[in-house]
Amino acid sequence: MNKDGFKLPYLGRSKFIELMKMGLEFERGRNIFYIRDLNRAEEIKDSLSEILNQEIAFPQTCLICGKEFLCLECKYYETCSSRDLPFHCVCKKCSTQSDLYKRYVKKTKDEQIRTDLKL
Amino acid sequence: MWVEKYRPETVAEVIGNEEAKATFVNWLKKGRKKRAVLLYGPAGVGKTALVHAAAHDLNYKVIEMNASDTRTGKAIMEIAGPAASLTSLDEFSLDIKGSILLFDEVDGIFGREDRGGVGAIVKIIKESQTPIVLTANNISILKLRPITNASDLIKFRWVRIPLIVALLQKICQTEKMSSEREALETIAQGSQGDVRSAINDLQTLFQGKSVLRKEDVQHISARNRPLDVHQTLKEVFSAVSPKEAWSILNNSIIDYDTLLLAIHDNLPLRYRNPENLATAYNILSRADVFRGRIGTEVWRLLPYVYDLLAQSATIAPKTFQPFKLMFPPTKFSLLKWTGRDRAILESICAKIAVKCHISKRLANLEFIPFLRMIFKKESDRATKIATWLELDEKSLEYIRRMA
Repeated sequence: MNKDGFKLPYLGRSKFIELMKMGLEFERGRNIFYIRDLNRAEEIKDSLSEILNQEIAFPQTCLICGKEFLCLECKYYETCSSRDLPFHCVCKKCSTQSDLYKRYVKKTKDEQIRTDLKL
Repeated sequence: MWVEKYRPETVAEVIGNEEAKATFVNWLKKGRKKRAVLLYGPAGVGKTALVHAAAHDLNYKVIEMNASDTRTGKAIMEIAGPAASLTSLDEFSLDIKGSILLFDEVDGIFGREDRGGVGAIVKIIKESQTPIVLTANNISILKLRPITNASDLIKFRWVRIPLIVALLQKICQTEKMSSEREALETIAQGSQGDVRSAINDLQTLFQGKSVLRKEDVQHISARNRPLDVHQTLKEVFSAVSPKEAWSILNNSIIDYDTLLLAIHDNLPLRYRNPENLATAYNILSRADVFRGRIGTEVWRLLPYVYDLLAQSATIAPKTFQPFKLMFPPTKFSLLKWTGRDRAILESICAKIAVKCHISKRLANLEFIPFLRMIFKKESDRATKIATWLELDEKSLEYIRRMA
């Protein structure tokens, strides 16, 4: 499921209101839902799984190369305490780099500048 | 201590929780909906470190009250009160933007030694001119409700393993020590996302060594991390065996009474098959019987309660499908809704108890039902009784409503 926006089948009024209260947002123009309140992302994910009657997964964005990937591909999948949420991690390829920490700090600084959070 | 030595200095050096980091920095810079922000999440993921790092980056001075300080209402008002309302001289003399008032581990404020602490913090939040940051591991504690209502909330989660490995690698390089990658991976996986414990493990394992090999970390086992409400219920219902469910319940921060109620409420959502549901409720009822037998003394029976709770949640592991968990238990909501009525009933029972020389319990059991009947059918006699018992208008309205 795309974390930036996803479509859902018709839910009915009560389910729709419930999801909105939980922290989901609906963009009328594009007809898509997205997660507004990240604090409740786990609950939202569970509710969506229940509505769609299947396990759902959000892709991760690599903090280093920006590639999207699924937690299932990760070698730490079994031991990870926060799989799927939140939405950023390091992909398999980038995680083997020896200077990963340096790259991570640089990328984070660049991202802060990019999003007008220059410190 | 390496934990102190490698404490991040800038926000970019704090690993993990990207969304939380950005939200907090934004809150500090401009987007303050409320005067306080509560950073909550597991221990060792960088909540306090982020506050100090952001303060460093944005030129704020941190005034901190942590768990080692006495945090009674009076002590908080004495220390934090002036800091929250007055402008520091530093702001004129140094290149400092202002102060951040940091209350660390607010979920640890409880008991006689911290009396009035929560109330004082709420008062400071309402009156403060300076940004207030609070941190907590668990915000589901009812006592913290006034603080959570008055604050913006930012959730922190366990840090991802590749990032912890990267940090451990960097520490090894700085300390000029060599290590096998597998060894660092084992430490990071054992920490289960807790950066602080990973650094501590690394330092301990390096004692008397200059090279860390895979064999050196073999004895490191995964930490028993405390599970919050959501994690406990989610994991216990998706457990594949009673044994797994039992260990999850044992690591939970929820007490056994709340666990029993929470499992009770969620069973119909977990089991769609009526037979499974009946079996689960039957086992749960036995857990309730054992809990009753424990009372306040026979604690040796507690393992049986946990065994039965674990069994009731794992009747049919293969049928598990994700569902929306129900919490807090409906009993808590019911008690909240009926709180006013119960207080009135108790005051009526207290008046009957004084007049008739009986206990309040007996008054409730044996007098109240008759009072209701009399108020329904004999208004003259009801008036006389009301005058004799000196019942106020609220009590009369309650009895009439119940009649």
